[in-house]
This record gives sequence, structure tokens and C-alpha cells, in this order.
Amino acid sequence: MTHRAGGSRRLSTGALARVEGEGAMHIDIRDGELVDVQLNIYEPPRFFEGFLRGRGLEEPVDITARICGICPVAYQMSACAAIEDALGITVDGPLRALRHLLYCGEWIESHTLHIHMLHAPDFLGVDSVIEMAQDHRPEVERGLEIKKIGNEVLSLLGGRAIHPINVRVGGFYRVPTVAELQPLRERLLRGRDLAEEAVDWVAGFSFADLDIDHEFVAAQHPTDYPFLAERIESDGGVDIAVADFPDHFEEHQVPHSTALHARHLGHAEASTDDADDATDAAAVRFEPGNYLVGPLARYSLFSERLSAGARAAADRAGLGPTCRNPFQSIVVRAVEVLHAYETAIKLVDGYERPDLAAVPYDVRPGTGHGVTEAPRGLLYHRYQIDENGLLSDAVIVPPTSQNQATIEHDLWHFVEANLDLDDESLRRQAEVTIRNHDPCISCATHFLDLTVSRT
Amino acid sequence: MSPGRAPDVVIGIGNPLRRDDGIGPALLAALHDRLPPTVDRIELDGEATRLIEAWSDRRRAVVLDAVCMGAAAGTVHDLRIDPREPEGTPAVGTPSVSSHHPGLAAAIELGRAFDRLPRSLRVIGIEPEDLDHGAGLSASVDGSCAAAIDLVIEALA
Repeated sequence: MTHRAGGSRRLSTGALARVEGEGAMHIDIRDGELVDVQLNIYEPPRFFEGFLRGRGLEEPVDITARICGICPVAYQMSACAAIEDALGITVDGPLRALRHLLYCGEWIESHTLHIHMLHAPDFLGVDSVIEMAQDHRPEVERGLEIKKIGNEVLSLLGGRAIHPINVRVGGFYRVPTVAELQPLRERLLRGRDLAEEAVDWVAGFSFADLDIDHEFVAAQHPTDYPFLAERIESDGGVDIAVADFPDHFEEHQVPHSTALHARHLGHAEASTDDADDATDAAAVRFEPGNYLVGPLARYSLFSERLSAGARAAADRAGLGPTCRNPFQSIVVRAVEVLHAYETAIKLVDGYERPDLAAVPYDVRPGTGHGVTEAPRGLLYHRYQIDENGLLSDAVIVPPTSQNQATIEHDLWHFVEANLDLDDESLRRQAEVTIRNHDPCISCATHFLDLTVSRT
Repeated sequence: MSPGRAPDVVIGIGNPLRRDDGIGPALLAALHDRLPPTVDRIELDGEATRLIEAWSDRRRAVVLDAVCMGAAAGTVHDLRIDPREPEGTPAVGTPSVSSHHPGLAAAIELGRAFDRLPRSLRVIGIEPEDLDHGAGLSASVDGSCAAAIDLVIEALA
């Protein structure tokens, strides 16, 4: 679709509908020089934060699950973690194991959708998964089965296929018996084998050379690969309690987006002097302190904690202990799917039904912080609870808003180095640059509209 | 499983916290005791592969959704999807199926490409007025629900 507006040429497309959701990207080129790159994301959590105020402390678990159709469990897990922190209760043992298992199901579904339906076409030279029906049918069929088994985990533990209704503060409304969980084991074993094949498949793709130097930030657990967390770590020296997140990471408004952008405060202050000396346009355009959450960050910080099969598959795929190439994020996601399967099998094997489906609690006023690792990265919730058990404040910081400035940064460097491409090629390759980071622009409906303007 | 073995299904798509985007779940709830007990009912968010899993081994499937075709808000749409025809065969005479949610159109295309459509697929929906954040249907959409429900009952009779 071509629009003409004033003296500038604009191309727009809905093709980035392959990134889940809604939003827009604009590239502005004047006199052959890149002037601006903007990724505009309409961020529903802002609405949800207001919607939650005045509601009961049990409500965020179900309401925030509606923020995203792809990762409702992540919103439930971070909501539970924050509210349980405020109430001073700990959910551990088999209840924690069940939450971990439920989360594995979501990672499997979300990552597998991105790998097979959205990302793989970029490496196979086709426009969409529809075109893979001809030459890559078995791989797509395999992807559908890997994803379906993940959904079976969600359905069994969550009570239904979408927006699980079985999760509550303190645990679950009902927990399965050992016998109810057992049939899942065979299915998980099947999924594990398919997931291993999928790693080997995507490892065979060709990857452009790119080495990003953004700070990697991920939730941390003393022994597990990041899912449910206790602290927050970065390769820039951050090692903080979850409650200290607001002191180190800040969301701020930028003029071109309704979504807030996040930055690492300590890093921002430390880098300011460098920015003053820099003369290039990117340094002027971008404030320092941007960072990256998600698969590359988790993998690079904690790859030694992957399950044995996932670690071996990563080695076979040629991934080292860290991975800084966003194009290879498809391999990291595939490795994480295999890790989720192997973790799920272990959790099912070790499961003993708890006496109580949920840890009881007494309502008390306070503020709680919660962080877990959504498929797309660190998801932070904070709730302030009053003496009647009602929420007086709610703050939600999703992974995509944290990554937004970093994605723009990557786009800037890509576009600047490829200004000689025609608009169509530029648009298509810019889409790939965005898709590498799997931004959840959605959390709702509609398309991403992409425009290139040259004057 | 070969196509047609599983029970008929009615699938409601949408987000009840995006106003008229909640048409699908609202219709599904209203149909609660008005369909034969043999008909499966599934609420989904519209993600394409979940739709495929939900309908692929069915003889008949009806999808309920907010459908944006540029008609007046509250207009009831009844789109009959032909599994063999790439363009589909919308009953309302428009060139292609169009939902505000890219998932449904993608699911139909994907289902067609991978032989995962039910033998009979109908999309029964209502033109939305308001897709902003918030709960509850707008008046124009609410007033059309009864007509849409009658169509679903007739489709699965």
C-alpha cells in the first residue's frame, strides 16, 4: 500500500502483523541521512493499572491474565509473586512446582509460535508460514504438535486452554492428583523429542553476523534457569533484590509513544559522560541506559543452568555460553523450549500432591514486588494493598516496554548501515530486525503499521 | 483424527476487556443452554494455531467474533468459509473475510494450506462500534446479539 503525504514518500504495511499485536514503526530519512526511527507501541498495561485500583487483592491474578493472550501465565505468576510478597507468605514445595510446570507450558506455546509461525519464514525466504506448506510442511506440522502439547499442560493445570482460571494467591483453586498428572508424562516425552529435532532444524539456518553490546538483565534463582525468581541480575553488575527494581530501573515517557520506555538508572548515569562526547546522531537520539531482557539475556547469564539435553543441543547448535546475536535468538528460543520440556518431565516425576491447594493468608496492608520471566523476558509487578485488602496502587512493567528502546537502537544501526536499500527491502529487513526480539506489541488486537518516509 | 469425527464446536473469540472485542465470549455465554449438549463450546483469544487445533477434526464449526467489514456498527455478519476456495465464500458479498483480529484470517489461511479446516466453517459475528479498553458491549452491538444467536442455533441445528 502506498500513501503520498506532502513531499515525502511513505510506505506502509500491515505485514508486521506477524509480530503479535498492534503498533507502528516509522523510519524518517531526510537528504539521505537517517533522522529518526520510532517504534510506537500502544501499551494496555497502563489501562490495567488504573482498572485494578480499588479492586480486591485476589483480582489481579485473573484480570492481568487478560493483558496478553500469548503469555497470561506470566502475568498471573508475577501478580501472585507481588501480592504474596505484600502478604508475607511463601509458596514453595509442590505448589511452586505446579506453578513452574504451568509456566513451562506457556514458554513452550509462546516460543514455539514465534519460532515456527513468525520467525522461521525470515530464514527460509518466504513471506509467511502459509508459504511453508509446500517445502517445509513436516517442520510446521512438528511445530504445531510441540505447541499443542504445551497447551495440554496449560489446559490441565489452568483449567482451560486460555487465560487459566485455576491460579490464585497462595497457589491454586484445585491441585491435580498424581494420577491426573501422569498421562501428561508420555505427552511431554514426545514433545521433548520433537523439541530436540526443532533445535537441530533451526540451528541449520544461516545467520547474519551481528554482535550487540546491550546490557542483559534477567530474573535470578539460586539453582534454576530463570522462571520464578528471587533476585535480579545483569551482566553489567546488577545483583539486587526484586524489591529494589524501581530503584535501579526506571520507566519514562518518550514523545513518540504511548508506551513508557525503561532504562537502567545506574548505567544511564555512568554513561552520560560518554554520550556528551559522542557526535553521532544515534548517541544524540538515544538516552543511555537501555538494556535487553528475554531469551538472549537469560541464556547469556544462566546457560549453565539449562537441563542436560538442552545444554547438549545448544552445544550441537554451536551456541557458546553466551549469545549476543539477535538473529540466533530463534536457536536460543528452541533450546529454551527443550529446557521447558525436560524441566516439565522432572516436575511431573517429582510431584506429590500437597495437602492444601493454596497457602492461607491474613489480609494486611503493605507493598509487594514480584518478578518472573515471561517468555519475552523479565515481567515486574508491584501492588500496594490497604488494610481492607483493596489495591491502592498497581504498577506493571512488561518485557516489551523494557526492550523497546533497545529494539529502536538496533533498528537505527541497521537502517543507518543500509540506507541504499530501496524502501521495500528496507522495510522487510527492518521487520526482521524487530522480529528477532519477538516484541509483544499486542497484549490486544490490531496491526503494526510500518512507514518509511524519505524527503 | 480424520475430519468430522469430533463433535460440532462453537468457538467464541475475543477479549471482554476490549469492549466490543468481547462479542465472541458474550455470544458464547448467551448460547449456554440453547445448544444441543453434544456441541462443544470453546473460548479462545483468536491466536491462529489454537483455532486450528479447536476446529480441525470437526464436521461443523461456528466461530463467533467481532467482524470489521466496514458496515454499520451492529450489523450481523454470516460468513461461510469454503475449505477449497482460497477466497472463501462470504455470504455477505464482500471480497474477503476480514476480522479485526489478524488471528482468524490467518487461521483460515493456515488451515487451508495445511488441510486443517472443518468440513463446514461459518463465522458469525457483529460489526463492532468500540474496541477501546473497558468492559461491556456497546448498545448497537448488544441489540444485535439476539439475531446472531438465532443464526448460530440455525447453523448447528
